[in-house]
Amino acid sequence: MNNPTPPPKLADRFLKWYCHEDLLDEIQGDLYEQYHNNLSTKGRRTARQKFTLDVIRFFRPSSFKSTKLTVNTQILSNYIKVAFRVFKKEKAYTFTNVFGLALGITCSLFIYLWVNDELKYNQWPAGVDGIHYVLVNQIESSGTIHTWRTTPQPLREVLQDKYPAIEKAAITNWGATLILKKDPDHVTLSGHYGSPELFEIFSIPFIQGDHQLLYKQPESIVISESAATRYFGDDWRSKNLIGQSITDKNSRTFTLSGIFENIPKHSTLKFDFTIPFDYYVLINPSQKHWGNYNHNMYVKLAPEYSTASANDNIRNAISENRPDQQETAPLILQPFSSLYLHNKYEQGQLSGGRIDYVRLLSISAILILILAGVNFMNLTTAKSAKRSKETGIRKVMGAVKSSLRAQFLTEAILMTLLAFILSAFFTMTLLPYFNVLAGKEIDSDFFTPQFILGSLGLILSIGIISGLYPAFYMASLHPILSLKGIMRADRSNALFRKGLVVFQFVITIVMIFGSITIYKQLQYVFSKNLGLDRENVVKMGFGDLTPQTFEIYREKLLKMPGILGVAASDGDPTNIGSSTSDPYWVGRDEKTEVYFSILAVNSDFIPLMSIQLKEGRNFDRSIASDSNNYIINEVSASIMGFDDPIGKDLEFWGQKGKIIGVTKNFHIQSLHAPYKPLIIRMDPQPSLMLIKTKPNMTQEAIASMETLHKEFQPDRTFDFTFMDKAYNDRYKSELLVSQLTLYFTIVAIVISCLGLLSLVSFNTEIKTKEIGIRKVMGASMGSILSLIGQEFLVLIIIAFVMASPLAYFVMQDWLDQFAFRIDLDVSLFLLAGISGFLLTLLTIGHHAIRAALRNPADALRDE
Amino acid sequence: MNETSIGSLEETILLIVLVMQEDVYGVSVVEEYQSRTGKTISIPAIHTVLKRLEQKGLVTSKMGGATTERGGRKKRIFEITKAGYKILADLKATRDDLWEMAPQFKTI
Repeated sequence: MNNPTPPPKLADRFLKWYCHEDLLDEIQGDLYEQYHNNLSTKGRRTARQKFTLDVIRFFRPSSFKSTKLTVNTQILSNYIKVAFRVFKKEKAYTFTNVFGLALGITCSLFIYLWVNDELKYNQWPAGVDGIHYVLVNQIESSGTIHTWRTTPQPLREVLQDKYPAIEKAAITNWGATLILKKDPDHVTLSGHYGSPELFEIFSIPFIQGDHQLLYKQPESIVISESAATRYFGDDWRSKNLIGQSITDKNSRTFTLSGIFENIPKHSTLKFDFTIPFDYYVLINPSQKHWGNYNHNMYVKLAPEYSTASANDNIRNAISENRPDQQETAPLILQPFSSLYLHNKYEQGQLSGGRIDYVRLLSISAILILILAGVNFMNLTTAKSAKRSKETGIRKVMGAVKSSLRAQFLTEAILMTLLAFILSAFFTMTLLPYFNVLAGKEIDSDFFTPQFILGSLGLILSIGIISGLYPAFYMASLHPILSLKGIMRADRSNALFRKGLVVFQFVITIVMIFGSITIYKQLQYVFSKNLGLDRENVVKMGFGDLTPQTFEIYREKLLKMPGILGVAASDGDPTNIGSSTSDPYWVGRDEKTEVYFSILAVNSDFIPLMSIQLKEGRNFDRSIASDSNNYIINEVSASIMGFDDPIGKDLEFWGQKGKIIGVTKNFHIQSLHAPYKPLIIRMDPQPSLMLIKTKPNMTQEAIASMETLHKEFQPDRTFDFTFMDKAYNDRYKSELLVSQLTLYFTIVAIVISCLGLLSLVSFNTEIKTKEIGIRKVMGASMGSILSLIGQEFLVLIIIAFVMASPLAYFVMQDWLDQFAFRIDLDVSLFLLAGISGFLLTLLTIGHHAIRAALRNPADALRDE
Repeated sequence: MNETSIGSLEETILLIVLVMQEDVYGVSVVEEYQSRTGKTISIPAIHTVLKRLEQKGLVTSKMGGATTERGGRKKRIFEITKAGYKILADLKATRDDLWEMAPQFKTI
């Protein structure tokens, strides 16, 4: 045909490619003909376009080629049959393979669940993008920046009224409890004093009433639905409760303004009641002061502002508005949605927090999955090499490469499928335990169709990727060689598998190293001498006790069994929150900005906590002037620049006094932070009782406390905490990570050992004859063991050398978040290395010894 | 009714096959359709309709001659079957009956 303008080539070829042969003539003919007609009537362009368009329109199942695209189900069923025969014949191999993979998948699945749960936090409010939390940077003259999560009360009004970026601002205090009388018992609710704007910022829906009364009347309250159920009973919904009075144990009466829906559990902001902040200010007028950084501040941005532009807008709100004093204190805005995971500030900059653990665990999950996949690949390759005779015969019988590949791939995919089913079973069984371990409430409702589809996709890709190498390798073997059973013909194959083993052991050694380090650091944290004795100390709130009744209480308690001492303070000395830049001493540079932590105690405190005095004396209750005197710690003394601090004047919060003692430094916050300057004063209104029990008499002491509690405060529930437990609880996330890493390490070890096992069994099998001949020639057992072992030890050494720097960098990075930490010394590396070594020996030992003990006659007769 | 039912496009195409009688294949049907109705239709669409009619047993087909325009490719030539003719005739009869009863539209 001599056509000057043939139809578009690409479209034509596409048509030929997909079109069924029987239909090609008529379809192509018709299209050609029409193209030809169009060419003369409508022009080249339109004709070509139409042709292409029609080719695409013909692209539908009815015109497709059928023969090559359909899967031959008969062959497939044969593959599956053979696969199950292999599984049955090689039970141990199938089990280790499936088990190893299932273990890896289960681990990753748990991490996925955990991470998923973590990411859910603080996403619940409508319009969450506009909701922000206000923090303050306090810059010391030394250049150190402290980031505070608390702000002063007057700031709220200023932010809301003067700054266009802020649509609404709400303030809450750090939390409060409300004890309501309900016969015969009490209902204890935890909530806060908060400004009513909170409900508008977070769009919290109400079931009954609303929050409007909170604006007008300080003695009003809103409660959550769960609080309503607890207080009014299950049938509260059928009654109209708005306007009712709620009276607490201290006879304070509040008018119920509304009942709001429960706050979702994935939230950093949780409360069961809100009493207007105005009420709080009414009873604590000092909270109105600009200098009292005590409150949480939530703001809603105006729609046209981003986080950054709003932050620019309000940055200097404190310095621009504080009337009484010059203060820089720039504000920071943090999106509410990130509060949970990003909670650490360093030098005024956000520097991670929980998100570090989320990342760390995600990486471990991926590593473990890779480890399991590699292991699967390794085992399959090693085992398929043993089936070279089968492959050879298939080839001789005329099987083509592609069908052999398909066979091996089918086996691999079947095996991953089994592993997936097994891991689904593991996950469901272990989920309750995991929830306890991680402190979560994950339901099994994550088994959604999407989730199953997603994981099936993942499983299939693992199956295909890890089955690909063995499939291609086996299919490419020369039939004669494979019939002869010559397996070591391929050097690159052996190298490949060795590489995989080294890779596995690098990961395993890093994980062993990591879990040892985390364990040791936590041991260090828990056993560290804090400079005070937190053992056998019970914390209990003052409740209704006044300072006078406390004295009587104390006298009585001291006479009871199990009690060693009783002291009082305004907070847990291992976790002091309040601080001030107010103190003035002679010689203080006006420009010096430095924050002192403040602890208020009674005279029994220092001896009870076994805090060492470096110089000076403790408070004495018989010296009246001591209520104005101070004890400082070493850091404070050096900041104040006193060579001899005793007797020097010190003034803060309008109280002039003298320094009467200097304590040695003790930790007043977590070990993440360095020692901080501290001032201890006598407490006119303590809120926390510290009771030291006699060693091994805790039970008796608690019983004594309870007896006395019933006598003094019959209305209150008896509630106490052990100080060392509270201390340990502050390292919860570290503990969790430590436990999870431990489990992961075990899983990694198991998987890697499985990999090693497969390699050693493969190797000894290949060397059966060599070993037999050596034995006939008089080789000793030792020399044969070293023949087998050498190779592996070399691999482990290589892995160790590669893993060490990696492990060092990762763990040093983790340790850097602690101001007080252990050193990564050689012994840690040795420990990790030696345990790797021992594992190797244990794993290969059985095989090696069996090979060495084998009767050489059997080995040589093998054909 | 146990008989095959056909849509209006199918009916039109079937009528065209009946009327044309000779050399009935994809492109010629398209041209005839366009000249009779003034509407355009694509070749893939015509193929679908013809195939459906054939499945319903209303037309039969055989492979026919090739031309140079077609690059030497054969055509599938269609021919109406008795069943096809009957269904058209039945449809016409039904409609004629109905038209008999239709009142005159005065406004036209």
